[in-house]
Amino acid sequence: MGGKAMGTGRIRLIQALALLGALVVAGELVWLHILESDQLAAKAQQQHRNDTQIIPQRGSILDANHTLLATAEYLADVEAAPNQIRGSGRSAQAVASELGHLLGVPPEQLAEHLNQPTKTYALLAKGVTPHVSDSIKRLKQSGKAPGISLNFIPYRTYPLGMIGAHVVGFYSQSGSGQYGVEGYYEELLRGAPGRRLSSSAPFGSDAGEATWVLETAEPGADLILTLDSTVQHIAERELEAAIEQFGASSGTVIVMDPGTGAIVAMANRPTYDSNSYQEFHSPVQDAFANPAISMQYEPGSTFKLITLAGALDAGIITPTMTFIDSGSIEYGGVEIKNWNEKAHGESDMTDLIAHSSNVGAVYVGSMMGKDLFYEYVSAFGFGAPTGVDLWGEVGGDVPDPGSLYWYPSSLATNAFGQGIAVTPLQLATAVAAIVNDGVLMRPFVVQEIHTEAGVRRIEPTAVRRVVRTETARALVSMLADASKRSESRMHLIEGYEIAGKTGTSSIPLETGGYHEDLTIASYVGFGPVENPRFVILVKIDHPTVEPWGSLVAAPVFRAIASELFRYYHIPPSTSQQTIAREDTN
Amino acid sequence: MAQQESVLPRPVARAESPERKPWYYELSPAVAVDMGILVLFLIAMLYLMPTGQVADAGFRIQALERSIEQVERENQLLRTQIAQASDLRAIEHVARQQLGMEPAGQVHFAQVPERAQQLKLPLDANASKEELPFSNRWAIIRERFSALFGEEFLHGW
Repeated sequence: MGGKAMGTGRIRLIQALALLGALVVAGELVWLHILESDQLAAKAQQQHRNDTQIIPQRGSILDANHTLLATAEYLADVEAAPNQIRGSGRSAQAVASELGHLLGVPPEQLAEHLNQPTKTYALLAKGVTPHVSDSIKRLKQSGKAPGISLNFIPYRTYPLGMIGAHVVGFYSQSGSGQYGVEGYYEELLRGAPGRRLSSSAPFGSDAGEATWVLETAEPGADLILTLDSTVQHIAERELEAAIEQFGASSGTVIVMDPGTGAIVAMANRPTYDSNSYQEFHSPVQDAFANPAISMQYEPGSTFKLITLAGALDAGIITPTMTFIDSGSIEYGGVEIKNWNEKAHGESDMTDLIAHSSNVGAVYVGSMMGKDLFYEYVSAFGFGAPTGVDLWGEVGGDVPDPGSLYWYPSSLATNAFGQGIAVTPLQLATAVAAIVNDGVLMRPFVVQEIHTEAGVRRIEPTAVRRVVRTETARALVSMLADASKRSESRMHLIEGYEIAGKTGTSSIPLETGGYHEDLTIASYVGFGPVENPRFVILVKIDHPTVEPWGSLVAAPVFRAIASELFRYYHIPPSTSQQTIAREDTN
Repeated sequence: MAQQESVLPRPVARAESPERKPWYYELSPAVAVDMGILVLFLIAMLYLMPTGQVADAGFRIQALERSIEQVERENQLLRTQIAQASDLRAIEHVARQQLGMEPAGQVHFAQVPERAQQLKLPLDANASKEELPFSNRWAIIRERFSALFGEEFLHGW
């Protein structure tokens, strides 16, 4: 009897323990599946799912002929999961040896990264070439590179390198566009990132990895420029040759369509390769700034066109009006001489241009008076940015006649382009306005924006009418006539009627006054006169062999214009009289 | 009488046929369990088959997407290589240094005689010359001569 009771007790105990066990399990299940389920599910997802950002493809930049200037090239980053190598049957040294050969890295250095069994990630190389990434793929397929993966990332590349670098800009290591179009259109080029969810098998194995795109990345817009890489190449080549020939320090060339304001070429020297911008060293403070829009200079005699345009338009002068050029003139207590200190006697306004008479310019400026003169200077766009769609434009420096720093002599010096600071683009745009029957166009570089939504064309924008059509045509005619008898006439092109104005400007010192030896030689011209297709501005800084614009800058204009006539298939002018004399002054 | 009544045979009620139950009531429990398992299996298969197909399609889509990405990458690479190959500095270098080429000199433009247009000459080069009137042929000859030797050459004729 006692034994039976004991047996029943044991059974009860076992039952109780089993029940307790069942209750514990049930309780744990309730805990895991109901009370803690959200946190645990999230933790589980975190362990085997990755919510990563899809980097959008940055938009390409193409020239007017759709040649790529900047684009995204997919290059692979070589990554490793060192914790996967140990279980693969291959040693870290063996993998390092295989990879080191391909990556050009000492195997010992790679082995240091791979020989860390607890680590789940190591970056072995960034942006390897397609040839190397293909070789690594083959290694992986043959099982010789366990735990190694390739992550293709869009890298910014500039196929033409230095061509148009200041216009294109570059993509910095910080991950944003800088300078030029890259900087100005950063928002459009960047696109919008997407989201990708990837799920991997346990223990980090890449077998059976699955990905889901939660949000598609929106690629950046492609930009079609007005820049023509052929014209850009011609401009850069001729500029470089002139800088070398005349021992100059730097220079700028702008080629513009006067009818629309489209910039066809914008060349600067020295320049850099956008692919390796970090290697560019320049004594200039802001080395990457585009000198054509960011550096201002005193334009010198090329500015006389603006003075004449204003005076003609206001009816102050006529093309045939004469003055006595005695070689020097006193105005505002300052004596101003002609550049060659020569007197030309009785001269008309065309002679003023042909001889580049400072005396004549002071005479015209004084007749205009300060209010009218600066009104026209402002109307031509000086003293304010042109609004070009490029990063980093400055507005120049036009003296304010109401300020304490303005003197009556300022009007005289400003009339022939000294004491006033402009950018090369401002001057090219102003001359283009004269060529374009007096209408100032906003210069622009991007003509089309291609997005997934469609194509948006950027239409040319007329800013304002600066002078009357008759004024503009009269000045063009005077300029063409003057070009045939000016000091730069030997640079006219046989068969074609072209016109332009030279400039040799002094360079101001920070301490006041001007450099005695240094000059800026420039030329701004257009052609063909009967139907101008282009305006070309050439600016050569600090030429040491010759200081004059007629000898340094005008030949560059001639060389570029000659090639453009051929490139654009422009037939010779019908009424052209060939002038090709070799004398100069 | 009462006895008589009691001995009288009672009318025989028509025998009712036993109610027939559905066939599965007659199945043995083992067969029923087997069939249950089979039904569950079929249901599971019906559920799993499309799920599997969807998963398979998903993997195939992912594989295709990866292929598309790769092809796009290769296209992009080719586009870049084309752009690099059209670098005019390199082309000019090859043209000048290796091929000994020089920039073209003066380009001569041939002017189309305006009178030929005015005479409404046939533009088709294959048109039969016999169809031209004699005066038109003479006009062409004059135009060619004037183009070659100048207008003055013909003045004496």
